[in-house]
Amino acid sequence: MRCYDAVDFLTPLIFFPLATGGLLLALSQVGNLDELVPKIALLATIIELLLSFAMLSAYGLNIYKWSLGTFSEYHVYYWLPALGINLQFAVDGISVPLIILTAFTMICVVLSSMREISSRRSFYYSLLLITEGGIIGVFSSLNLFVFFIFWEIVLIPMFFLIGVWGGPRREYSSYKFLLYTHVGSVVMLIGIFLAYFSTGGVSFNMTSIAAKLASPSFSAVTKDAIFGTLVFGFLIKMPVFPFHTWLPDAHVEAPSPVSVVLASLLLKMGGYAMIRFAFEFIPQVAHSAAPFLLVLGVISALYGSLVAYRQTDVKRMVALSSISHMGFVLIGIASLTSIGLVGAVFQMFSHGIIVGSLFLLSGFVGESTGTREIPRLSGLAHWLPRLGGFMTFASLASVGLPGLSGFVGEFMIISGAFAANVAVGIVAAIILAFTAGYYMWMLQRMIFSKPMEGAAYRDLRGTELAALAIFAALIILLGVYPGLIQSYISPSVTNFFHMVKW
Amino acid sequence: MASFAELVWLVPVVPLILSPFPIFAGDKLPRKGSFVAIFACAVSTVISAGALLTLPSIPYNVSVQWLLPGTATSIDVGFYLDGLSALMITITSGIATLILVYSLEYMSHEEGLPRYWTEMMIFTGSMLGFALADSVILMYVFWELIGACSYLLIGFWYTKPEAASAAKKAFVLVRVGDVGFLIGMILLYTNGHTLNLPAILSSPATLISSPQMRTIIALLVFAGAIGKSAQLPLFPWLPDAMEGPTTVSALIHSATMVAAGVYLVARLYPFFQVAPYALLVVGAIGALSAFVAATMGLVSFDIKRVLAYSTMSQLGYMMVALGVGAYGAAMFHLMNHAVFKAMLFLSAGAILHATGARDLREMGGLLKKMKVTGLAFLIGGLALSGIPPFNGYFSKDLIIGAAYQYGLVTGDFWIYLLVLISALLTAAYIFRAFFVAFILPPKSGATKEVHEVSLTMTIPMVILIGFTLVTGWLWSPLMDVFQPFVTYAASLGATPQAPSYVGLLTLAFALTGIGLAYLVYIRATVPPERFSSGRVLSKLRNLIMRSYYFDAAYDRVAAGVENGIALALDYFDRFALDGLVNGIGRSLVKLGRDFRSMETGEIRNYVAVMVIGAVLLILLFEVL
Repeated sequence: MRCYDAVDFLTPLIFFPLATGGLLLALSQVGNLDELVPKIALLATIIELLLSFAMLSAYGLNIYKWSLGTFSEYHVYYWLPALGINLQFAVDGISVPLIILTAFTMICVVLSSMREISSRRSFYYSLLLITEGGIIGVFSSLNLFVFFIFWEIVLIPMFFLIGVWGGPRREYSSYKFLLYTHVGSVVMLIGIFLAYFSTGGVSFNMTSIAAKLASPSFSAVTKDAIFGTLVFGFLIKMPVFPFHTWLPDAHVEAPSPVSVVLASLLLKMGGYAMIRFAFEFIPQVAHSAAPFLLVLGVISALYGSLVAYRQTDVKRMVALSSISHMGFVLIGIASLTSIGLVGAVFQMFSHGIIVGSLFLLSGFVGESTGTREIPRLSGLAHWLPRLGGFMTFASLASVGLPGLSGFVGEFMIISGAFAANVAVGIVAAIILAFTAGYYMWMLQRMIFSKPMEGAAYRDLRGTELAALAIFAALIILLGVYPGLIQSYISPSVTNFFHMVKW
Repeated sequence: MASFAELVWLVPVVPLILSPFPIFAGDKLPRKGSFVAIFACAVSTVISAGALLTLPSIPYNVSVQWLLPGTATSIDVGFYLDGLSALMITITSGIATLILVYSLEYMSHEEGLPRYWTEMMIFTGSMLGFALADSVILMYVFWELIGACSYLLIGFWYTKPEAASAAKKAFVLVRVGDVGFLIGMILLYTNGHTLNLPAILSSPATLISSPQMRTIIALLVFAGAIGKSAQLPLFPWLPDAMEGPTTVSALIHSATMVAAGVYLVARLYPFFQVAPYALLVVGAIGALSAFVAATMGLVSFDIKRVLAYSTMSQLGYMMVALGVGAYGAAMFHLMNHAVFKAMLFLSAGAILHATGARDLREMGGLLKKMKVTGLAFLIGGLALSGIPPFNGYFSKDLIIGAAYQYGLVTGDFWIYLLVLISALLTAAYIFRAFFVAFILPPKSGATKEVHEVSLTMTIPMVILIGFTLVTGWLWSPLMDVFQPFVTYAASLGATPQAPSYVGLLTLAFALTGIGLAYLVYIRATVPPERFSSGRVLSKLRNLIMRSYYFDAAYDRVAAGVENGIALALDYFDRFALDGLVNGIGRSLVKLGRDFRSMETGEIRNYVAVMVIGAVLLILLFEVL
């Protein structure tokens, strides 16, 4: 192993949660840690956040240039050099926001799990930490093979998290989640091997493969096939219509903290991979496939918002709105404009914190009142004022209220969409009115109106409140001063657009 | 000492920054934090008034880069202080302060007061920010915040289903217009590469070279104004919004939300001027709204709804003024209307506070028992009708005169005719309300125990009465200090002046309206029922009572989305698409049944398999 740099925060960022998770898993076999383990997990996620801040402070020190941009912080550890499989970690302005998002979100996830999860805690928290490490690994791996391993590492703990702590139909949902996304992974793996062997089987390194793929003599059909297989896997993960049906089921059954991981972070893996391993990886093919993906994004955004109207389960409604918002991300990416891509990354961050709060809240509704069916609920704000306040706030954020983070991303994405195609831009803007429609209608029926016959429901408090407060603070902070995140994203995106010359 | 212009950024910032105090600490603060709200708005008023009186000769503009800094298309936000914005912030903060003082008493028995004060502060702060914003995107940000706060405030009594529904309606309908505004703004940005007001105002024609594109952008932006100012066809939220507390209605209807639409057009007026046909549309929508709203005001029995329709109608007048090139008159009417409409609502609120009644038929003879309230309503009614010497007369006269001149120049007199007839209807409906509520003897004994409201509520009304007597003279035969003050660019042009017989005719129409109301309700020469008898009249009345079926149409659309396309897509999603997925899955499961014995359910085994798999994979590659 060799490291180019003296201050490397990236490697511990990936392996610290993995190691802690593994350690907890091992220790739990020895003795009963269930009382202590939530605190350890909280401590671990806070350390992780500090590490990510440390990485931010060192950001930009160690630049690595490649043909389509630059990476700040680039580290290589030789693992299986004979096969070209090395641990190549790097971050740039596209991955850094997502890593920060992961670090923040996992703290909130742990906080909100503290009361909700009471059985087999050591196992639960170790799975959470392994997931965190895997997600950050996905966001920072440049080696296709290592990227794939992290991608799969995330899948398996998630399968257990849904399948063990989920709702009544958890088995169905967890298997559906695992199998469906695994189909995507397998197709993706084919693409990865195709890329590896067609470029001479020398290296899995993304940058060196990309350089070879870019050569004009490279077979166009192979390039299309690599792009197609990879994008297929990413579309399932994001998810984009018509590959989205695993998502609502998984969300409905998953315990709410796990829903947060799923919606805030796992979907972002799809969006991130779409940028890094499709559009940056093979820009020539991406350019010709973009119109198709743009249309798919619009359909997905519109479809998600329309289907959300009919949902009676509030969690399912949020899940469908999530599909709609991820459709916006795809629109931004496929608009092939700099502002659209910046908007897409920003939207991923902002969607992560907004939908995170919404899933915590909608899960809490079910827990406190015994049902999540909107028609059976009424006037909750009267019994649960804190829930009412946060739900209203998060819904307004989700409909893109300016001053909150959702607006910034949507504004940039729609600007990009208008530059790409006026019709797409108009539809995207109209979707905002639909979104307002179903969120406001949900609030009217469930949170407001005549209070239902009262039992003493339990309102938000303690750690749940803390988790929501962290999300809310981030939503306001980024809405008022989006430059905090955008200043990282823009240089990388500008650089990429400068190099790619579409 | 810093000048007021340098402090002007505090005007929106103070209410916004202090807004969390009532909701988070209100229960510990005296009077639930009301004094924080009143203090914040009073500070804003002082600074605004100071800035208005010591206005620098050139616009004062400070901005920072907000989004995409350092690029050619960076989006800046900041404050822009000139005559127009200084006037607007002074009106808004002043009236908001009076309304908040009035709320001290009016709202004192309500639950959830901390929430009320916080939302009122954000509401006022957003409107102040909107007025001062120096870029279209910052205007849009505050514009939407105004909408969100109105949503929360209209739904203040959220346990009432009507209030919850009205709040949603206000948010969604206004949002429909806002989508137009958003698209217009983005087109402006993608075509003109800037959203900064100074750049847009100085040379709008060179910024966007294509006239068609200028018209498209102007009309899309105007769509936002239609929603906010409750013009045709996006008005139905306004009467429903009466479900909110009366103080909220007073604020929404005078100096904040609905005024924002007019202000938006006035702020971007140079752009509208170079967009062919855009101002014609503005004027036409305004004239139609003024007329339609006036007819609806005539048939409504809810005193707050009468006032709501009068707001829509008067905003129509302002739009007409903008449409016919009388920019100054529009702003003049905005100011005068803000004063007398706030007063009318405070008066209606006092009635509601004292009697608990909103329905005109439950009132009567109130003038004897509530002298200040009655006087406020009477003066407000006279101002609204356009009777001298009250402020409404001066601005309305200018608008109708300008519409007449517009007719002379273009040959199109229908805008003039509509606003002229509306002047008669306006006087008729407001005096109908006044006579029924204050003069006629009560029909039931419900109003026997009524007495005047306390000083906390009457003092704001008295102050507003004073302003109603004063502000009109700022642009009158005596002096004209108003128009030069708000005219921030030479291209805006002076308001066309009509010959004096036009003004006399307007006055005659207004007096006729009052006379008709007098004949029908006081002298009872013609009983009011006569106007709804007969087939044609009853049908007409029915049409107006149902607000020209706009409500029904919107409900249809909403039901169509919910029960039509959304239902179909939901079924498609659940059964067709997911059915396909599950079908594939089931056949795979059948295939996998043979391997069932390996599924032990023990997690340890799964993990073991996972680890072994990974190791094998690595070894495999090692060997390769």
